[in-house]
Amino acid sequence: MRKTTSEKWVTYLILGFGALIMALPFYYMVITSLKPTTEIAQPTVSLIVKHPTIEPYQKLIDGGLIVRATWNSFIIALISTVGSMLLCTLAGYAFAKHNFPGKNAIFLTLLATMMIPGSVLLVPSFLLLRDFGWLDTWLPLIVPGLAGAFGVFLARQFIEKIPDSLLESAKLDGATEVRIFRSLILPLTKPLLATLGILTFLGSWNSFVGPLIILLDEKKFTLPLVIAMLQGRFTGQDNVQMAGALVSIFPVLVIFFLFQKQIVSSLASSGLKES
Amino acid sequence: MAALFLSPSQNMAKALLRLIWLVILVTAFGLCQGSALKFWAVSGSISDVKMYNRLAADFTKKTGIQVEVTTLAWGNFATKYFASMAAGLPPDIGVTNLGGPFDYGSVGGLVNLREEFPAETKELESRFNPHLLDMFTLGDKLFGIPSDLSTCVLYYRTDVFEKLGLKPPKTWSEMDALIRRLEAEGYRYYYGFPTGAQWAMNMFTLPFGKPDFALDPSGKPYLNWNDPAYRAGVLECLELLWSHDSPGKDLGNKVVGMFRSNDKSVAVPFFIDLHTVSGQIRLTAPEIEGKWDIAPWPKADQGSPSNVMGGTAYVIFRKSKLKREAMQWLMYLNSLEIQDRIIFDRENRGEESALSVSPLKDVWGPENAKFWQEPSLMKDHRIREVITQAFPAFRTVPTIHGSVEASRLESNLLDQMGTFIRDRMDDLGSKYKITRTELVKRLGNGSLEVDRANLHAQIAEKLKAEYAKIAPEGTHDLEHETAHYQERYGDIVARLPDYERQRNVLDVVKLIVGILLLIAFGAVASVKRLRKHFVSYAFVAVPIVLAVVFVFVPAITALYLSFTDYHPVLPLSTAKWVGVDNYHGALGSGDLLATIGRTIKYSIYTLPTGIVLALVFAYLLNSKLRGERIWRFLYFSPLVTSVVSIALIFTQLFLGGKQGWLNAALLSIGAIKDPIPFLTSEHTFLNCVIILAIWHGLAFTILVFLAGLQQIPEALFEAATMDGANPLRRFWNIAVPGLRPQLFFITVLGVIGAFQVFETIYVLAGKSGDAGARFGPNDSALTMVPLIYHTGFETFEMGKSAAYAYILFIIILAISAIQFGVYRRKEGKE
Repeated sequence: MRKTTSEKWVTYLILGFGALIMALPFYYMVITSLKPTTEIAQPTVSLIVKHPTIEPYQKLIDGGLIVRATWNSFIIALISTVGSMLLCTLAGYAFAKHNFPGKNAIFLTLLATMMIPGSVLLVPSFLLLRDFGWLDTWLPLIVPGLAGAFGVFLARQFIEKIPDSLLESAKLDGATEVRIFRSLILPLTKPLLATLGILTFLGSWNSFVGPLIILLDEKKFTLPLVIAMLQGRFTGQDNVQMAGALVSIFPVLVIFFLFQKQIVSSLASSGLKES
Repeated sequence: MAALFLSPSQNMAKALLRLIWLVILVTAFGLCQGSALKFWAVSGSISDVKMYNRLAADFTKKTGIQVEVTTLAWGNFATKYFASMAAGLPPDIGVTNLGGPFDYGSVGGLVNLREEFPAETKELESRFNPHLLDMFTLGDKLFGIPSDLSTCVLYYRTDVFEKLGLKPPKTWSEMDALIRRLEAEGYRYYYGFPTGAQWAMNMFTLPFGKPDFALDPSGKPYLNWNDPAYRAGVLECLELLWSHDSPGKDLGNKVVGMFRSNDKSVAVPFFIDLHTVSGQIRLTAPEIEGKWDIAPWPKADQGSPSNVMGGTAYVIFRKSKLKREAMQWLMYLNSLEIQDRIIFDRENRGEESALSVSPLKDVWGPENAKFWQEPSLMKDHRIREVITQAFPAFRTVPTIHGSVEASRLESNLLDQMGTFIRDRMDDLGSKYKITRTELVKRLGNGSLEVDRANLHAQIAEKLKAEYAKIAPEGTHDLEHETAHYQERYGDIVARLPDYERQRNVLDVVKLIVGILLLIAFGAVASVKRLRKHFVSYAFVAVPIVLAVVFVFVPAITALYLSFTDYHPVLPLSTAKWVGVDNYHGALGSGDLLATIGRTIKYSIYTLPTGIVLALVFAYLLNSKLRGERIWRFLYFSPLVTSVVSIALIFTQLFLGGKQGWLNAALLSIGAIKDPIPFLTSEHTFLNCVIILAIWHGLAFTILVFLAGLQQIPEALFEAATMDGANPLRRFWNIAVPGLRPQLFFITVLGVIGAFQVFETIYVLAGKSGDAGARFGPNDSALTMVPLIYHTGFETFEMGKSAAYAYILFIIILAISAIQFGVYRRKEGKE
């Protein structure tokens, strides 16, 4: 769109104001996390940090809890992500390109799970997992999400667009299904894999309610749990709490900055999943 | 896993699953630490873990028993203990809050110390003040002993007091007069710790011998809410909290900043807080050393001395296999030598140093006098003198069945009263067109004596009326739970092992689902027509099995549970069929309706504002911008950030005093004249959740609209520009209509999302830091999912919670159906 200078000016002004509001909480977090206790214990507001210190970060990592939680969150997110990328694509491929009795019924059953909000399952999942002996383990944070309906749905949509002729010529060459999947489908679905990967990783990395109910032992806690817990462990120590928030936010922000385009387009396709 | 039954063509998935299992097993193995005594402690400090680890090492040397220490932070520890008992994975011994022994003991989770360890318990009991164990006793059973106590004391600046000719108060009325004097001089005072905390009321009502709830000699429960003496105590606390210019709750060490300040507009030369703050003052405000002192909590004018604030307690869990070892550890921790070591350790922790108040008599008695001569303890000698003075008056009140439910009623009443008093103060402020500081000054110096008397009378009257309103329900809770307990749990708790062996609903559901899955696999394996497609079935097996096991099985179980009464600490076989009682109760009581009302309010405020803002920003971001990447980064970054961390940041931005950034900003532009207690007032709490939701949700909405805008042909905009349409017109006539599908999509998601909001409320309400926190003051943000969580995992009424969950499910289905219907009709018309 072409614009006049005054229009441009107004555009930048409004956008600038909006960006300020969006950035302010992050700014608050960064400077507060660098304030020494004496600056926190001030009766008035200070927009800057006079004597920056890493002391809040030292307190935060003291005892190793947050380091361990970061690692835990990373491992859980990684396993979930890899599993989800493969298993969703595998199923999506079968739904898109295979014909077998009951295919539609199975697919619809799968889609029906998206109708049931997670909060409805809070109580019974807890009891089921207790029955499995899975409480206070990471299994419930990984296994049920390994091949979610939404991921399968995305994969089916994507793979349907791959021309059948490609697959048929491979079959004529005598390739097995596994081979076709590995050497034909996977290379062709890189954007899909990226989307699945990003969505699963973010979902897992940021998830809170599941771990809150399932995990008991602090050593197994994930990062969001430990971050929320800072309210109780460092009551009134605003700087340490903000250092914790920064630790959880910073890595994803850096990744986001680097792969902005891909992540934004993945999240745009996640619309349905938000429900 | 299903995939493991399948053919070699499933190699890859199989290998992958194996890998995942391997990693999990290895990690789980790494976490396992053999059969050490598991000791959990609720603590606010990481240094406590280190201390307990040192003590454990010493204990191991003496006895050979290994102890594994884990700490739980204040906040949701009660949920963790309950969940661990429900999961059958409790520790052997734990430190809980003072209410813990009763709460966990009454559902059969704990060892009755008097029965299991009579000799040791008798010895221990003799070392406490009479009545200090009252809270942990249920009939003749004793479920725990106190571990550590805390109490409120008065902090005052001696220099300011000298200048004004003031003395620390010895009675409540002296304290009231003192505060008025300070306010008349233009100072303020601070008291925020027990805001909204029902359990803290004991400090004000015990001097009159009136606990909130009690049993009469015949064993019938009653409450004291309608007793004038009880209410007088509560009234004192409410006025101390709200009818002044106190900067609010959770100020952390900012209160130290105000205490040390000499600038009258922010200075607080007198405040009431936990005894542990003295360490912080000493360390963060060294320049006022010698200019401040501590005084004990004053005595109620007509009451006996009495003092307890809070603390922790030791309990031993019923499921522990190391009960004897647990008792040995308990005796070890309670020896005089170790108590002294704990005090010494906590007193020498740099910034966190504080005096630890041991509940044991001998620690404070003459036999321990030498220990207190330790040079590093001398710096806190004043606080020790004050505590030693108050110690004989330390006591707890007995807990009774139903007190959890009744307490919640009272907590919400206290929040309502806080809001009421603040509102009346605001009325007075606007009547005279003055700020709160000025109002408090005038109330203090006697120039508004009539208003002051009126205010006091209004508060007293309102308190009386509100207590009278909730008393019938409170009494019903107590009577019902007391009667219900025997009928419902009496036999169960006595015969727990029997019930644990019985079959339950999950066994049945698992059996049915197992058979169905077997039939399915069998069919694929044996029917020729299906076997042809073996590979396809293998490929889709994992998602479908996961969906059945982790979605359909729990969903069916929940449906059954919603017709039962079930406490998860007990075996599932004790779930009792109650028919439609849960649904009836949910629909009949006002709770559900109020919850839905809050949810609707949340979506009505969140959605339109979010949509309008997102439309504007998306429209502007869609133009050719310099530094597009940076702009998008700024606007989209909330997309990837965890809502828990964001909520933690907003909790601080919303701080209630002048120290909060939002308040400071509003004050500086003159939008408000007094700081708003954002998170502690029921008027504003939900609005804070809404602001946070709009802020955090904006990025996604912009993203969706931006994607939509990019599909609108540029030619349309250009044609409009040629026709002379101004930017506003182009926005309104082309962009907005072109985004209709996206608007619909966002509305559907937004409404569904509003019914699912949880994390933000959880963090903003401070639930992970404050054991007594509800979902906002007066439960003002108790929306659908918080209600499900609360009933399921805080009061542990799993049947009721499942019923709420099903009602939520139906509401969401209905809303989606209506929205789709409307959308189709509209589309059809055009």
